[in-house]
Amino acid sequence: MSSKSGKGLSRRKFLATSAGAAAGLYGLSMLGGSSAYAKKKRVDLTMLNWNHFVPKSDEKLREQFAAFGKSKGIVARLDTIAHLQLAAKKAAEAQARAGHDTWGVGGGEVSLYEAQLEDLDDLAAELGKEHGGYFQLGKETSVVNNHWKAIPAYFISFPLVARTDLVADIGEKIPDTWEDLLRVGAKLKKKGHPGGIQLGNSADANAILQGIMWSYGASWVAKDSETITVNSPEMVNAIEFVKELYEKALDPQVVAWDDASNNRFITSGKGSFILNPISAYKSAERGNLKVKKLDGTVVPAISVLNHFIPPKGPAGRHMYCYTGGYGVMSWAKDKGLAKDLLRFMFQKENYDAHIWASDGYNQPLLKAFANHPVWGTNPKYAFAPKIGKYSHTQGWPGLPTKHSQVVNQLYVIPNMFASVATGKKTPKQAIAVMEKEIKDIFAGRKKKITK
Amino acid sequence: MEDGAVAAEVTAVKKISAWQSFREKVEQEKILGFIFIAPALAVIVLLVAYPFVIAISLSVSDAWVGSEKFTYVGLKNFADMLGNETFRRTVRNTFLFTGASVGMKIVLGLVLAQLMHRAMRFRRIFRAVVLLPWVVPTALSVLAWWWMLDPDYSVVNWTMSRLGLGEHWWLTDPRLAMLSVIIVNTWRGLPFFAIAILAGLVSIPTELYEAADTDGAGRFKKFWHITLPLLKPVLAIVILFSTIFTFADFNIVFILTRGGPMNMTHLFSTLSFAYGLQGGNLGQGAAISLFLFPILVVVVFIQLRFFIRRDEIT
Repeated sequence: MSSKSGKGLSRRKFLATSAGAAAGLYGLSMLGGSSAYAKKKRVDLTMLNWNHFVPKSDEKLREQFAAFGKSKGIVARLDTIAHLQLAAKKAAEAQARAGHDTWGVGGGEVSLYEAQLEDLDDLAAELGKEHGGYFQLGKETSVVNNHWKAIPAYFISFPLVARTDLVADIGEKIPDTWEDLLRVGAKLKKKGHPGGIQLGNSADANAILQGIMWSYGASWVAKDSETITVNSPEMVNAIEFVKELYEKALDPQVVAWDDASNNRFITSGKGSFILNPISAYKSAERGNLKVKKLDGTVVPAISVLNHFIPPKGPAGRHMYCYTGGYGVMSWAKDKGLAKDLLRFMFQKENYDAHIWASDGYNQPLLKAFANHPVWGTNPKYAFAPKIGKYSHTQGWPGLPTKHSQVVNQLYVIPNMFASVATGKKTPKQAIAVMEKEIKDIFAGRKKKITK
Repeated sequence: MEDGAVAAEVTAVKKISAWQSFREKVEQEKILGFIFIAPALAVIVLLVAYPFVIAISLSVSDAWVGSEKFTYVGLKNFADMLGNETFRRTVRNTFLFTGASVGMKIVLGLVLAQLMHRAMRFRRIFRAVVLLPWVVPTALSVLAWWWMLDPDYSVVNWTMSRLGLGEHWWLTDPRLAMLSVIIVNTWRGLPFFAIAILAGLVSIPTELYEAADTDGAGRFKKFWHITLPLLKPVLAIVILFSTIFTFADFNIVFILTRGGPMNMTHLFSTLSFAYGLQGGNLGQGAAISLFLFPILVVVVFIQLRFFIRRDEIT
């Protein structure tokens, strides 16, 4: 114990001094903290949703949340994050059984989070009655085991977005079938303007390739949402078509594209066609982007871009769509208040205003809003009221389930198409791999799907 | 009165001696040592051991995100993964990624450290600049790389084609995509190697080189017989850390390729994330991440044995 009498700092003194300093710092921080806490607003109701591709849509929702909060004397807040990060965030909240009171939910999430989503049967019936009922797509994506787990709000469709000037300049018409698209696309690629359909690890790739698959009469799961139907001659035809399309008409980089790449591609002037919601058109409009025509003249991109009903295949016209709805979580602090928020969001004037704000990007799943005036404001949105009947969501003709959600998240479908398109596998090899992966994903299923 | 004073004094002495004996007990090394180590132990138990046990229990279950209850499935998740083509490629990728990245970092780190060791102008500024890739948040720097290697608008391609080196599909061709993630990992980890090796170089006595000069040793012989043997302890610890971090890397692949093209660039961490959190299949996600554990145990075991031997020799 020499340090006790030594000149240096003794251990006890050091501890005492450190403890004093720590206490002092804590005290100071609490002083600062308390004033910060006093300024911080109390949040009574929250929603977690994705960053909308049309930013005004989220702005409008935030306005509505503020208005709802004011009417109830509370603070309501909308939190949005990038769509690719949303799945992990939701998984973390579900595991912690804590977090946002309400969620924006889509696709197979309603099935995946069945236990965490409150039953909304009464509210769904009330809103359905008020607004003329729901489209079948809305019901399919919101009801699990005979209970409404979300209020279906919108679908996001995938029209063909094409450069009308380029198509006209090569003496062609806008393709009506996938074979037409191959022929026209091949000519456009030769002119230096390939098309772009994602074949990479991206959400759009899942969407468009399922649309092509269905148009060729193929599917990966049957109507019972259980039987795997990957291995079929129709699937071989669909894969071979995409391989030919990739080789003759598409930009070779599409295997590495993300969900924004096709937007940049068409608005840069290089691309001749993509399949995408209206966000590419909207970003061209927002940025006043210009593109070069074949004769060298430079024109505003929106003057030569237009949307069309997606092409049809041998089995008809089918395309994927995203779906979105709103659900109340089991851990919501005040479930009645959360339901009131949804009721408020679906009031005619609010729902109308939200569609206006998204500029028609969000298409309603409630029948009363089907012919919304927003689509009359621009002839380039003429496709919108017609596309719903061709639109299905993940796992069609089955229902969206937690298993179809995994199939999407692991990009099993794009990888099957891409591995053949790039010459890595034959169609049969790719189908065999996809069949095994999907069967593995479905293995361990306990419950029957009863919607 | 006297009796009272004595009694009070006795009580006081007793109190002091009780306090003293308590203090002495507390100050015993094994008790005080435990008290000091307890906060760190609590952090490890709460943030490492507990999640590890949870991960093991999830990996032998059929748990999905949010499932209220789940059942024991034994090693089914592990067996399923072994039969999965993407997983098998992920195993190969992880070893290739780690081996190539760590190998490149060793070689380039030695070269860079030698350069920084030389007396030159602006040495301090040069050293600070070298550290930048290590300091910048990975998510941010990888986004910059992603932009530079963008499939359609890559500035790297633009420059290479202007220099007559042709265009390369960095993120589109699976082999180049793997090379891209290796390059970015090397770029990011290189400063750690260079600075640590530099510290080792500085500590080598110059007399050894002077003696070698007298004996007529050339540059290579001096490097092989003096520099490298004396750098071994530093290199060993740097390689140990880097191997562990590289095996478990996530950010670079997640941002640069998202595991694509065609799931050809997944690592354990990104595949586990895709299954467990994005897909919601916690059981399989946990099983994938646990495949990493025995590999890291072996790496640590080999490296630590190497250290112990070095200690024994020196």
